[in-house]
Amino acid sequence: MQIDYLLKQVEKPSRYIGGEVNSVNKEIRQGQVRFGFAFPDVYEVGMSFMGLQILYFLLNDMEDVYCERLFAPWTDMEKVMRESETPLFTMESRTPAGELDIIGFTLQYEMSYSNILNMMDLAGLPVFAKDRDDSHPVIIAGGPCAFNPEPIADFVDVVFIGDAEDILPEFIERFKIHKSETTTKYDFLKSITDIPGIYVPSFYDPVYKDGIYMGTKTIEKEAPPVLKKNMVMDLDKSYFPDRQVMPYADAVHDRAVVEVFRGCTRGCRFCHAGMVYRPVRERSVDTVAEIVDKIIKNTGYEEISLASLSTSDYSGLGTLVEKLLGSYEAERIGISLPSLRLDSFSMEILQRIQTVRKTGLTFAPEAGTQRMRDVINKGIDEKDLMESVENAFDLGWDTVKLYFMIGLPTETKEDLDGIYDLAKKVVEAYYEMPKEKRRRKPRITVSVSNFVPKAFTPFQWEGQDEPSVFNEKHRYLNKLFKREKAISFNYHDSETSFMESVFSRGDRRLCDVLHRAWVSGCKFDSWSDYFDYGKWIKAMGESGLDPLAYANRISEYGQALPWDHISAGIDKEFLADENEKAKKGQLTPDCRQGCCNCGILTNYRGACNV
Amino acid sequence: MYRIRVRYEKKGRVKYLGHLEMIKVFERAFRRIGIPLKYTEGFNPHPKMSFALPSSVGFSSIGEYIDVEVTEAVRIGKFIEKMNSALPGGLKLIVGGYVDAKAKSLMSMVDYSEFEIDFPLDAEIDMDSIMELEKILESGPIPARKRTKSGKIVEKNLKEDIHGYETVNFKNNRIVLKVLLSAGSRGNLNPLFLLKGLGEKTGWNIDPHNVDVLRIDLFSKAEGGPLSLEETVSEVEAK
Repeated sequence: MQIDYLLKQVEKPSRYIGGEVNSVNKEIRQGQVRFGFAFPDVYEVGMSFMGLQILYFLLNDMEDVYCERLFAPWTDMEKVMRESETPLFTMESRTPAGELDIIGFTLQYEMSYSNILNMMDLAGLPVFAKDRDDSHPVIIAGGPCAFNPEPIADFVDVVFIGDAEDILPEFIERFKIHKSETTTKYDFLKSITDIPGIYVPSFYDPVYKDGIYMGTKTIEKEAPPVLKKNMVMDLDKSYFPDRQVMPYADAVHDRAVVEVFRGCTRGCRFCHAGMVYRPVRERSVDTVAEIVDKIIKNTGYEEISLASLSTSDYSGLGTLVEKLLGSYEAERIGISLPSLRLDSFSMEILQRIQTVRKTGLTFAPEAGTQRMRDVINKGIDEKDLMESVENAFDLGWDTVKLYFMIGLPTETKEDLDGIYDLAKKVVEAYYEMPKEKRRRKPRITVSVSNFVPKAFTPFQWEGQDEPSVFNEKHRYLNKLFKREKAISFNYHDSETSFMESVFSRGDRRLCDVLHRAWVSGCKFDSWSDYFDYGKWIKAMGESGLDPLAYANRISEYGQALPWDHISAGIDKEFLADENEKAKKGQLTPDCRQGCCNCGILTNYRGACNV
Repeated sequence: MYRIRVRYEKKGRVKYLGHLEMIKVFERAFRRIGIPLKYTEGFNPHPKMSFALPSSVGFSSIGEYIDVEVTEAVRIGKFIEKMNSALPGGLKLIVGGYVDAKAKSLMSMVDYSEFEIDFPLDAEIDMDSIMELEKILESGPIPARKRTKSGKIVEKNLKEDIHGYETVNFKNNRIVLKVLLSAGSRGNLNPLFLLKGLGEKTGWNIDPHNVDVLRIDLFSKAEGGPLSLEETVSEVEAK
């Protein structure tokens, strides 16, 4: 009744109702491990995340575990929740989050961190790990941003570094022992450090000298000095759910998703995921087809997305697409391929699947000139791009989105002009088609994002452009594109990218900044309506830290980095070499054309089968 | 081609689903149970289905209607049974049957909607207040301002859109009122709007977020009085 009263006051109540098809309803029993999978953003965003679906069903398939979902309530809901003193509650049984045993936050982007604190607070929990005792849930975190866990280290009890699906069951078993023997949280944390990829931040202590980070020392003998990521060796044998919770409320992605491989062989030098999720591990065509079949039966979805970092690189793509078309064309089920490369093979595949459903096309040349594409090791040239675009127009597409990044290392004005020139050539290619093929004006969108240097990439030592420089570049491009009627130009906010850069390479001192920013009201920072740059800068100042020293610094190779005690399996020397090659515009071949000795092969024997 | 018409209910948490969400829920449930759906033409084919004036977000209902077209006849009993295990909790098909493929659309048949409104008052309710309420419902006027599509504000007497009323119950500061109101494209009165008008007329303070609305049924105008849409689905199995 109480929650019903709140739901009648908010804009999109279906965000909070739960009970979706395939959501899990379990009887609540004594001795059960109550797990809250927490996505620190609004429901529509969280429900579009594949990792949630994997872990939700993995945990719920365990008999004595009940995993429920938690999302950040939108501000209208938060207001009425706080007014009525309603704590954050689970989607399924509406249990107050503070009553759960474990809450697991997923770290998908840095700008969601303030929501983690806000959600803990809404649950009635102290936000700092040191202020929580054995009566509180254990707070864990994982996901891509967990590779540099330091900016959230003071708030969480445990961080999962790397893949989690094969170690979560072991973690749960250890937790059960802890719960039945009622050991202290401290003893529990000591008992889990032997599980691969488990990082307990409170067992590590960063050292600074004159305000400069010097290194991290362990303060418990159980804590490994270098924490290696956990890795699922064989994706084909690894867990993948045969159903999906089907979201309400206009989720960003609302379709069947199967992960065809993890990792990437391309080696783009700016790409965090491409580095930390090495090596490539594929799921076999038969396994994927089998999973698709079950998900379609259990959901009734009309679209299947074959997910990965670069789906054109899936070795069985041609076979798989033919197989899926054969099975589902008659049922009008479409296939969507996110992250397509600009090559002729991808266009052939596209031609096959577009007979069912036609969606907008997105290409990511990433940079405007060949020189810059070589710097980032993108490995495509203008000929590839133009041929693909011409092909797409010929097949009937007229809506094309082009993604670029600006502020990349070594960028000059020519590289910015290159973005404009390339986009213009795309428009021209459309008009070069015979008139009868052109149904209407082409719609070309150029989307520019700001380069953010990320930990564990070859560019981790590089500096980011200052916000004012980005603003200047935006203005410059905007002026160029203004005269092009067929092209719509958009770009990301400079100040958001700046804070993202601070946090992506941040150290543990940023916990204080994050806390201050949250106290002053920061939340939903990835939503432009809510991002409050002034508050963040003020919080940095109050902590005595200079944001430029984080975002714009260029580090020496010998200098200690705040994430050096974490290992993503790739060697620091490899990353440094790659950065040097970038400066010279030298390419590194795709892993499939020859091993480039990134370190995975020696650090994880048998994992790399490229 | 065959057209199936079903009456269904929405209760509990699913009452917060908007119409577009409801369309998806049905579309995918139809696909899961594997009935031979008839699709629209074009690049984004959708199953052919239509609803009769879906009740507002937040209202419970035992009087919702949907038409869906299939390419082969299916057994209605089996269809309802399968759908009820495929739909999310709170959505339930009650009764269904075939209608002529050329029959009037559900939407165009709606003239009245019957509601049960359960609302609180900030004052003690006695026989006098109930008599006052019934007097207003009986003879009006219930003035209200309504913004037209062109943005003009017009004065309306809501009494014109009330076609029946009955006080079902009153206790613990709550009144349960049953009303038959104009509904559909030819005139429509939302029960929450009626409550607002009643509140202004009587001076009662009614918290709109503490109102439970149940839609009981939809009706067509007919010679012998309002005719439930369910009457159009009585010829059960397909020919």
